[in-house]
Amino acid sequence: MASPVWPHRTSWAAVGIWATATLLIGLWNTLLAHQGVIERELLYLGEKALLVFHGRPPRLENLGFVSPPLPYAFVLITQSPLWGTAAIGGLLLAAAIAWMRRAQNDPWVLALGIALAATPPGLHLLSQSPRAGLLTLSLLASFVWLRRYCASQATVHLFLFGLVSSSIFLTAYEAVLLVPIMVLPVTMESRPVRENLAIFGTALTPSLFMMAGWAYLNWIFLGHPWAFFEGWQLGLIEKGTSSPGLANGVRQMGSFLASSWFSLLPWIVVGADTVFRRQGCWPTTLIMMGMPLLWIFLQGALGMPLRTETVPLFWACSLLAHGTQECGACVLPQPRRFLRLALLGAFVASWLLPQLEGAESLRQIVVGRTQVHSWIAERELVAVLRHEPGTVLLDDARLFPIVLLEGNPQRFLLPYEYEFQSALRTPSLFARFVVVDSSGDDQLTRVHPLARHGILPGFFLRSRHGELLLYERIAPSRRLGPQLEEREKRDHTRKP
Amino acid sequence: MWDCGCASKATVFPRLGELLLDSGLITEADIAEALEVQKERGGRLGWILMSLGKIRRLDLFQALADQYCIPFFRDGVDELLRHAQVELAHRLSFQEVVSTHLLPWYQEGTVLHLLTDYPCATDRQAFFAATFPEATAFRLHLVTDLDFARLVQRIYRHEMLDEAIHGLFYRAPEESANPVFTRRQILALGFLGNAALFLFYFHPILAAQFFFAAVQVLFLVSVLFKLLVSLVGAGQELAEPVTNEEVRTLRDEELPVYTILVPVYREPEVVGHLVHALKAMDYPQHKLDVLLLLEEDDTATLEAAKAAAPPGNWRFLILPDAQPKTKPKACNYGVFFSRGEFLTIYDAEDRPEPDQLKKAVVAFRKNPETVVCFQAALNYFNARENLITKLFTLEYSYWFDYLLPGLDRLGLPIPLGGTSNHFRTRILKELGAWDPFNVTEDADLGIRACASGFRVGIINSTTFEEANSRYRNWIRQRSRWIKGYLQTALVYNRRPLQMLRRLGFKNWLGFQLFILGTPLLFLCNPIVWAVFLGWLATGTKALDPFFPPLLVYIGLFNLLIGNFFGIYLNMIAVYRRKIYGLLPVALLNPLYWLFFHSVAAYKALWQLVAKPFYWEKTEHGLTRMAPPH
Repeated sequence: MASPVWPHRTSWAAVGIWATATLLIGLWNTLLAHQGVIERELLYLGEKALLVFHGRPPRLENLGFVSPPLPYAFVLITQSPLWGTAAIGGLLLAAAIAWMRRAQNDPWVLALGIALAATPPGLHLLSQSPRAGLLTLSLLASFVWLRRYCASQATVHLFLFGLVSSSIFLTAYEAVLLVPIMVLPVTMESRPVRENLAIFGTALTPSLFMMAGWAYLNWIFLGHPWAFFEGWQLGLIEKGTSSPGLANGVRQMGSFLASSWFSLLPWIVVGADTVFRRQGCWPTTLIMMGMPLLWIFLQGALGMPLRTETVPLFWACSLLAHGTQECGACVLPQPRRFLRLALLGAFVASWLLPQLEGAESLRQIVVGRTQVHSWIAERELVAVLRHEPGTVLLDDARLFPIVLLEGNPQRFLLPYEYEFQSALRTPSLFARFVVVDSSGDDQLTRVHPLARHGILPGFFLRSRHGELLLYERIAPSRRLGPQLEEREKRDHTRKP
Repeated sequence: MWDCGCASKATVFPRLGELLLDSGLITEADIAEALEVQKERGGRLGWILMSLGKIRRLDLFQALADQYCIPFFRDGVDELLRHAQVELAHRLSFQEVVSTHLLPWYQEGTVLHLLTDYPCATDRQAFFAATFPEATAFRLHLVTDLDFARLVQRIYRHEMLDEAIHGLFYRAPEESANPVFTRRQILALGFLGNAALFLFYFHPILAAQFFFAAVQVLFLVSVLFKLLVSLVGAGQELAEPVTNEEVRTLRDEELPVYTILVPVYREPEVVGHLVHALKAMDYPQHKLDVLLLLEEDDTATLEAAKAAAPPGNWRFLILPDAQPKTKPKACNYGVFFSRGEFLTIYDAEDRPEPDQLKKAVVAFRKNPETVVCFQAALNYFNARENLITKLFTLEYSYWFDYLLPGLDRLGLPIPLGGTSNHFRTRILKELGAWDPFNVTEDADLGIRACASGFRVGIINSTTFEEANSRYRNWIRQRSRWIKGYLQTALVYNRRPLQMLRRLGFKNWLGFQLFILGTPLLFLCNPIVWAVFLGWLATGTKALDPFFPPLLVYIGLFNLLIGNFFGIYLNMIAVYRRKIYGLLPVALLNPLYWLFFHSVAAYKALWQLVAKPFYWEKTEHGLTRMAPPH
């Protein structure tokens, strides 16, 4: 009959940390953007959100069908990839601090754990990787609830695990394969088979439902149940990625461990402690410790590149797992001191040693050794376009950075628009400029294969920016000339 | 002068046990056993002997008459009534007669003769002296408690019936479900209906958009509210409002008299099981005041109950043959004769857990008087009988194990379940007991208690019932429940702002979302499905103007996520009771909603207008599965 006492004071503190962290990360992101540092993922999500609000016509499908949907939701709400990502980073940081405060009673470990957020991999995760940030948050939250269920056997914890883990699919599709692995240790405890099956079923149902529901929605609205997976792969997986396969997964795992082992010292210490002591829900804890490694393997097996954001996932798992240990019965001598040293070592190493792509750029900027510029070709091309009015025809499946960097989607003729197919056949009737990626395969190069080599009927090659080719129409068609000119003038003036 | 036999002669009363021993009605062993029980559990020796089956009721009262030196009448009610001056009795209300255990019988000169089933309680003298100033002497005559009740029923037949049926209506007409719609509500509905027609005529697309939006938003809010409450409820899963340790520490001699009302009508096949279940209650039998409430024309159930040989402390109350023959009327009638400090209701097919009454006593003692009632969980013993019982069991497990604890934890009004609600009798009477015009009188009472500043709590004990195993029977029962929810919503929305002030915003919102939202959710459900399936089957673009993008997304969310939560919450429901075999059945929840709940909801809506007070009787005793022992 007691009355509820929510929200707790700690909840308000977490909200405060979230707001502060979002502000700081947002400012940091803005600073980075001015320096020319912005990840492909942010541009992708930003362009999709831009088309919702300022497209011609507004691309309403992008309200709900941009993949992956959860990271995109933050960008959509804030209408800014920089601040949307900052909100995710802030959320992750606030949640991690809240969980660590509950789990850790060593202030040094807590302080060093928070300090890891200020390392290049930590900063990269918080400020440049909305998908990885949310995935880390989802994985950690799933583990928090699963471990609570393991300890308390309260159904509400299993219920919440199911709900939280289903968000993994909506954050990073391939990571849904990790969910059954997480649940396995819990279902291997000594219970009746029927109960274990029920737990397994309950834990997986939300994820299965999300998969089925999302595929169904894609089928209904986009005509293809796996459209979400293909669209996302096309937009976000960078060119030159290695081919998928189990061997690649193992290779990627090995290369990651070899290159980043010093950063993984806390993980090694806590992992060893867990294995030696085998206390409480240790199988769940062990799976939790192994999850980042599995994630790297999975990405490799699916042919995805090695990402730097995985390093903070190792740290977060270690700190959470360590919080579950009862130090009175430690096998390793003085594990707290070991952990403090390991955390300190990881912190120093992440600043001194070269990091994987992404985090390395941040390290370079902060250390100040080199000036980092990304998207140079795109920026140059946009600079040209900004001085010239007229409609631009391009396929934004891969060239989305240009749309976002230009900032005015109304002057672009994009595949979702009704006229796009007609424009593909006779670009000169519809656009003054055409942009082609000479190294890629898009709808334009499929219709006009020679466009990769500088030849597009009715256009001349105005400029080349890296692998991007900018074509400009030779002369307006005699018959439709005045109308075209008038239309282009009108389009150009319809700025949002 | 208060002439109570020996007492008035200042004689020392002979002991009842000695009297019974001397007359050879009991043995030394019997009295030793009864005294042992009295030492352990307290109570009156005569009632203990009778509840142990050592003596007959007539013998006990004869012994009491001998003990108190007053005459005992055992010739039956008709004979007593032949001598009665009924107008004397009517100078008192039946409540006063029942509470004082004294019925004015006839007057001879200035001597008033009184009938009693509880001799020589001296605290009533002043009251009678004031009520009958012309009487200079009062002489008592003993009758059995059953005869006393029958006499009261015969003499006050019309008053009692009227009070049982219209009592609440007379005291607080605004809280009675009669009439269903007030004039103001009819005007408001008429205005809204006309406004809708105008809108449809002049702006059909806007009107349709508004209609679909309202349906979708209602559905969404209702689903999210239930999710929130269930989550909070699930958080209480391991909490025990009353622990076994607390029950163990209860001392039997300190337990109060507990009234159990058992309204039965045409249920001869299950009443025997109930007698056995109540005999098995872990509560001193002589402190149980069991009232079997039977209708006058239902001789079959009466005979079956007699054949089950209930203990002597059970009373059969035969309700006069009058409409409506409903459970709330019977319960109100039973309340008049209740003796217990606390009171509960069981249906004929109920199998309460033996420690339920003790848990209720602990809960009452642990909580302030403002907590007027504790609801025990209900569940089914025939869950595995067929698909309907499986779905029903899942629903009940979710409702009583997760949803109600959630409401309790959030401090929101709790609609009571049909049985196993335990009351403080005094406050129940103050509240006006049940509304016979409301077909879910229990849910109504829960809300009324909240509106009067009281609270309803829950206890961790279960009563097992028989789940409806047949579709038509299920629809009958559920349509009554949903109709009752609609009635309750209408009653407490007669003056919404006043109710808002009385309940406070949180309770008011909880009431609206739960009591009004539940039927509306089921009414909206087929509309949501019909639009979706129609669109899926035909691929028509005709609906596009009615569904702006935001509405499409809410609709999709409702369809996918709403139904998902329906399934998932039912999946969770299996854990507390470890009924894991029912887990796959949860996947059928959308069909359960559509083909069961929604069908019942539309039937309820129709009946609300056509037959608002009609009581859809649920048939019991259909199961082939044996009840638990």
